[in-house]
Amino acid sequence: MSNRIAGSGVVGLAIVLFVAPGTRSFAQDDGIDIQSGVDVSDALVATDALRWVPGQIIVKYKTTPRGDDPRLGTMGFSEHLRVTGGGEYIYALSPARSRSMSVRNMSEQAESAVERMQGQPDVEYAQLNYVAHIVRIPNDPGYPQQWHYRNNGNGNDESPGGINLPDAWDRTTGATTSVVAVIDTGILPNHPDITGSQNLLDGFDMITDNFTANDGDGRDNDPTDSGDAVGPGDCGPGSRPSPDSWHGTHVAGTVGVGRTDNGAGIAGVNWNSRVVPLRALGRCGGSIADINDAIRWSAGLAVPGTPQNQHPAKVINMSLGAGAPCSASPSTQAAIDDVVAAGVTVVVAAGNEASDAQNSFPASCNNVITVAASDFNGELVRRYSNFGNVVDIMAPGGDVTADDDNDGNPDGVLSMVNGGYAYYNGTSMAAPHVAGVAALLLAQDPGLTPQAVENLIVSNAIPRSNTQCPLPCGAGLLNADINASGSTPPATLAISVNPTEFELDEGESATLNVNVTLGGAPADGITVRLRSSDDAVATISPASAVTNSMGQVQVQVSAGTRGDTELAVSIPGQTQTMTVNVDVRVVPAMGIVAALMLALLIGFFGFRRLGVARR
Amino acid sequence: MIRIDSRHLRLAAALLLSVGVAIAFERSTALRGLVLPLQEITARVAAFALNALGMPVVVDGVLLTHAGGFRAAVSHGCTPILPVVFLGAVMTFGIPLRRRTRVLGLLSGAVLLTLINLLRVIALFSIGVVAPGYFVVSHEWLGQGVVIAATALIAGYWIARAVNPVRLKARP
Repeated sequence: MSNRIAGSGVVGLAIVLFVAPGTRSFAQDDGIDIQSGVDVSDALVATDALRWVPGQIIVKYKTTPRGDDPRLGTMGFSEHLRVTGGGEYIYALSPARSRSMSVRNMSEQAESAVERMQGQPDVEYAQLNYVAHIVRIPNDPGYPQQWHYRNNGNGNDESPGGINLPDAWDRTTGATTSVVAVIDTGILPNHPDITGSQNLLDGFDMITDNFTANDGDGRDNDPTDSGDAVGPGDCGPGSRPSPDSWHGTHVAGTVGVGRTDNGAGIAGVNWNSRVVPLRALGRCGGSIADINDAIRWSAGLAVPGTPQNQHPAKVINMSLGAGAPCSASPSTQAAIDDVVAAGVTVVVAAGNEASDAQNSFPASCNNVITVAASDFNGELVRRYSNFGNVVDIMAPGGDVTADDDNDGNPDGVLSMVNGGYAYYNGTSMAAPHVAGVAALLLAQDPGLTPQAVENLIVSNAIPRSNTQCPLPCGAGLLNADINASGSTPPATLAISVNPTEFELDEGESATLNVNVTLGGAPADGITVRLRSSDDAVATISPASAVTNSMGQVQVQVSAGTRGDTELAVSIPGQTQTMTVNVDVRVVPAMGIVAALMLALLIGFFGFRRLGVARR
Repeated sequence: MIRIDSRHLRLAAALLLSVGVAIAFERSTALRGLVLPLQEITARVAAFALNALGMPVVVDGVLLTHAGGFRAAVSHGCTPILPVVFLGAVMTFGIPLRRRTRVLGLLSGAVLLTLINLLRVIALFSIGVVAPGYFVVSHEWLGQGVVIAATALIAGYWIARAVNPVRLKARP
């Protein structure tokens, strides 16, 4: 087998997973074997209690009342505050009455008033003025164990290493347009939390080497993780055995490939964003050539011999690396530069050697967000996490050797593995938190550039002290609660036409090319309408058309009679209008005149010759 | 005096047929559509030649655009189709010729007219670039005049050949 391995290492470097060695752990929680994936629904936490505005009620009368209701007046609701758009009267306890009451008494008084009014024949309905609020705590039973998602702090439902996701989820839970590519060991599509998930898009198996792939073939369109277990010596002389990691599924689970807020399993950073799984790592790692191709494919760039990715990613997560500076693999830097130029944010793990990430790639490459790992306390995990000046941010990677929250579970990152869930730790687990937050930012503002995404993540980081980060760990701890809306000007549709003017002969046709862009990018599926100010001079066919994937529409401009006309090109919903001048030039019947002249010339000469010969 | 006989009538009929085709071309969009490929080929070849001559030109369909902004479309009138129709009518119906001579005359005439027409397009576009003020008069009179004259000369040559065929003389 080892000779096969040598062939898989294109640059002689094994690209490995960034799970901290020897730290995999399966948790028991309240008698529930998380690893085995048994039903954990009884761990569901009760949702917030129903609340209402103290001392206020809403009454809808069958007929419009004259003045305030004396029945409510005797209960202290002296006058109504206002009438709603639905004709309901909102009553409040009089200030004099409420000053002498506690909040609890005011609530009880409101309940009593509602009960009384509900029985009145002239009242259609009466109710409390309930307080509604955005509830963005997922109901997944495993969520309470995902300390890494909580709001940052020491209070209830908070953790010192939390990244403020509940606050972030009040802004957005992701968008279908935010696509994250996870370049890893593939995916387990039949995992109970993933099956039926709309967040899982078609991916690709980019592994060319059969031994590495472990699925009986080379590249194909099935990114299913077929396992990466190896025996002693399989990865070279003296290499140690290791079981299947299901690493890609664990990472993708954190990004949000599964179903979140579905009452089962666990939550992901994203509830609605999409994940494209790329399989580039297998037994003994993966070749950098395959990974580079996976990087480009993720972004929708062409990779010879593969179909084009129909769902180009806006974020790429790579929880992988090799022990050499990025300068050792310029091809990787080139691939990263290509996708960043295409508007894709690249997030990479810093590595688990507890050393300077400068000596690891892609962690030390340019144009990436390099992520170190933090623990439950929001501190750098010095036991394994790489650090250094190339690190941009720190995110929860967990530490399964600790239980600082004393919940009986290791403080790892809880996510999906084959058949259930497991706590893993490593910078591999930290990176998808950042990739997931990047997707949340792009859900708020799809126009964000990779640099803007990085700036937002870095500038909003939760600062860390020298005690929390005794070694360089970037800007601090990841903070998911970022308001990204308005970070870039709203993307507007813009039209351009080519040519901008025509000079046509009568009856002649020419092609008019219309390009529509949205925020500078080709706008697909936009209906473009075209109108000639004088159909006698020029007509357009078709009069409306839908832009293709390149944002283009082609129409024919046909010149009629001589004259000038303007073609108005417009987009519904926007007032963008482009004018094209058409000048129809006509050489009056010149073709016929020329034909007659030609006929006369030939006739004159020919008749003379025929006549002369006859004589 | 020229005495009219059946040969005159044949030539007249051929010329009338050609004029009829020309009128039909002017009136029928469908007929002109048939020539569109020829327009595009003419435009492409002209663009190639202009670029080879050092004049930066791009072609989009029938539209030639110079880097300096001058733009002209190769219309159906800019193709050699009508001159070839005239020559074809004359060679096929208008004059008494052997079949081999007809084919030879028609083919050589068509090639010659195509080359002359191409030179016309190239010259006209060059005039439009260098001296746009002279483009209209060159296009509407000079260019068409050259093609008409060339067609008449070629047709006249074959009419003359039909009347006074070259004969081989017996060796003494």
